[in-house]
Amino acid sequence: MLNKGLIVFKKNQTEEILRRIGVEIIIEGDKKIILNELGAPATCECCKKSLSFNNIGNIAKGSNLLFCENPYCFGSHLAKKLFNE
Amino acid sequence: MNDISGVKVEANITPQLSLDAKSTKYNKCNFSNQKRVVPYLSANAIKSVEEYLKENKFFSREDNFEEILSMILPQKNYRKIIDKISPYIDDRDRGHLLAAAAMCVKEDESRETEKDIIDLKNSGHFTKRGRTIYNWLRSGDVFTQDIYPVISMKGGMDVSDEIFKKEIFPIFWNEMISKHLWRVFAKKRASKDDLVSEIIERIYFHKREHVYIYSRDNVNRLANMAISDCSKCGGSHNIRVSIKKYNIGKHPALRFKLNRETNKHKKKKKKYIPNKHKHKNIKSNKKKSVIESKQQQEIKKLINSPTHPSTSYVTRIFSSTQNPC
Repeated sequence: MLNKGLIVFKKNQTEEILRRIGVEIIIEGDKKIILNELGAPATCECCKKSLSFNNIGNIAKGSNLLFCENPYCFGSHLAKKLFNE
Repeated sequence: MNDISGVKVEANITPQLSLDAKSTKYNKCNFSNQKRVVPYLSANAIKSVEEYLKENKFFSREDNFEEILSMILPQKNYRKIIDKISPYIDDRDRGHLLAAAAMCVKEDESRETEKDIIDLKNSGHFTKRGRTIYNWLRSGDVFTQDIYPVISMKGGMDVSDEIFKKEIFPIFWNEMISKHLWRVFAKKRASKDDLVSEIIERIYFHKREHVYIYSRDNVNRLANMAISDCSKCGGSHNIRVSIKKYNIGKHPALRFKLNRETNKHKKKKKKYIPNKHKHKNIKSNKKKSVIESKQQQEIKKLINSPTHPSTSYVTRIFSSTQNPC
């Protein structure tokens, strides 16, 4: 089922999930910065917005893709993957 | 389910994903209902979405969960899409599209939109072309899989958006043209140049060898002029352009309407029973025979009766012979 694929988490659980998945997190002073696979600060795959723990909306476990909280970003990713290819 | 995090959750995925008491539950029943309400995503498309999500497991935040689900299975609204697309489409096609969309809306939402549809039919837009567009909208190939998900997922996308112009609209338009490459409709108020350009577009860009101009009687002259121009432009190319006439009386939409109207007031026809006439003949023959027999009986009676002139004559004779005196 469709809802099997989506695993839902709460806002305060984002850090824990990211760590378990294997996303690197650096602490610089008071701030925690999320890094992508290349070692640069993580951005949304669609709108290229810089991501923090507050504005992460969707996370793909397999490919470590991160999306912001705007649902259209994730939707457009799905559309591109499934319908445009 | 409060300890949803990491690998533990992956192992304990259940069909029912209940989050909190406040949040909505998505179970099999809900999902099937959503499917029924929104049937425009084809079964293949839904399957592909499901498979993709299964393969690449996505974590989504509570706030986005419902919105994403609603986007994946969005509520359809053909009219909005048509409104978005219509600025790019010819007047004639816009009418066809509206008619086809109205039909779709009527069928899906089961609302009373018959008036709109009848108005559109009367305006002459819902012709064969309209029917083909309707079939195309319903086919679930292009519109549902390619265009609609992108539009819906883009949400409040303007028509002036470049993505719409470059990516979405060409698919829509090319698909539409590809089904009507052989015919050009000559409008009443169209100029000759427009007609010629449409023909040439079909011949050169779409490589059609034979194009039909559909024209009514009052536009025949214009069509002939266009043909002569096309033959000049053609040069060495083998261009075949011919006219096909269609009259208002034979217009499919009007014909449909007339049939509908006339069928209402039509009386029921009596069924033809082949043996019935035979029965009639038999009956009439019987009647005839009965009448004849009656007549014969009457005659016999008359003959036997003493008052009959013939018998009286005979009796007279006999009487005369018996009593010569």
